[in-house]
Amino acid sequence: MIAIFFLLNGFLLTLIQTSLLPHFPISRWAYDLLIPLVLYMILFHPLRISLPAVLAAGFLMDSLSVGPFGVYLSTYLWLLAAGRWLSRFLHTGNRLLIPFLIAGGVLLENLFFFATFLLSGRVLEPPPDAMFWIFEQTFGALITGGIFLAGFVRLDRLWNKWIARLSERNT
Amino acid sequence: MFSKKTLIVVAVAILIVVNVLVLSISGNRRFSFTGPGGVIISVFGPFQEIASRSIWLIKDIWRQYFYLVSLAQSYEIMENALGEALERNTRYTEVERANTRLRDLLDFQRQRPNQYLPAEIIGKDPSPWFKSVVIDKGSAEGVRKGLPVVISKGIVGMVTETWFHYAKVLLIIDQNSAVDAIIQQSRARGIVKGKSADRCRLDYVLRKHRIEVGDTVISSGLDGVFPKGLRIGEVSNVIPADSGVFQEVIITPFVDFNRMEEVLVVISPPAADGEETAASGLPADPEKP
Repeated sequence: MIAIFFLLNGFLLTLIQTSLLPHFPISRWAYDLLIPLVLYMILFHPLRISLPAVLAAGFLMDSLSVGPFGVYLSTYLWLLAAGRWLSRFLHTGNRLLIPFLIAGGVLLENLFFFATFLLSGRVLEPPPDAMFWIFEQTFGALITGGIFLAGFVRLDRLWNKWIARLSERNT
Repeated sequence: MFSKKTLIVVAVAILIVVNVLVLSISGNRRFSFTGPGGVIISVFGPFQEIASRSIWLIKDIWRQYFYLVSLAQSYEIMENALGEALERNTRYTEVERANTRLRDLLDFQRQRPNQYLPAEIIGKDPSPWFKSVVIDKGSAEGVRKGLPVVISKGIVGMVTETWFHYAKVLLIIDQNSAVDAIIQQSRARGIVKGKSADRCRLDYVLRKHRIEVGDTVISSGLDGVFPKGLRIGEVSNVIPADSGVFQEVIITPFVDFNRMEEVLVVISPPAADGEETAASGLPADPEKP
């Protein structure tokens, strides 16, 4: 059931990111909306659930982007590794810590992209204003990331209740 | 010899470098990997289409309202302009006739008219690092990889991936894009490459050419992808190099990529021999201008 929850949310967020947000002037500093969802799956679910989720999200984003195939997949896998590692030392469910984790995820993704551009030699050059919008996106994630994650926690609970009620009715 | 902690740090650092290097190499292969990603686009495309159309509908209603308000004001201005335009039109008709006669005299071959397929933009690249759009026409409608995509203002980009009813278009402002171009005034040739922030740069322009800000850049037709004479943009900055053979030219494209809603796919490209170049995904070799 968690798989359906993840797929529905992932689908909706990707749709917002690729088809709705580009119509608004905020699109440039709107960060990758799948990061809060991916981090929610990493931090609040076991590896056997979070790993397929990370792979699915990475594959979806790589299919929609014109960038080198695997750039999103790699980023999400590194997020998975970092998230699992952090959860050994920190209480990742802490409400004060969550915005920083999301912002860190956004920063990590952008730095990963930046490094891919830098190491490609002459083929790709990092955009001159990249640092500026990396800052904007990270700041945006710091402000709104917590809201997203809290939303997922609440939605997940509601979803589980709804499923439980449905199965009760059927039995 | 080394502690466990040090070994882990080194292993992670090596993994990051290897990962980024692999991605850099896959980036250089340029759009060759499609794989089962087409399935995702085929499933995702219709939803993108519905979402985009809903937004356009709301925008259209809003725009139409303001349009009607401004229509009354602009009517009077338009009437005056129409008089002037009619006069100009008469002059241009004369010029056109003279041009036709001269072309016949020189035995110019008339170019085969291109066939255009209108398509709607239904999605944009999820990352601001890459510039591409998804359109609602695919292989079922005759769209092929390597076909040029334009609008009336100028060149938009090139089809890089196609599925049954959808296609991905690499915009000319993406760094992977390359268009063989000439400057209309000086006839200097170069390769238009995506820069960033809706800017392009014209590479490999010889220092001997005199380039002015405001000069128009058009496609040369030599890359076998884009028909000759399509508008690309205007020169917005020229940075003369102190040494070397080339000068740096920055271009502002005529197309406003943020406001683009529909595009035209050129179904019949200019030359048959361009197919091979287009299929490779790279219109022109950046190493050999």
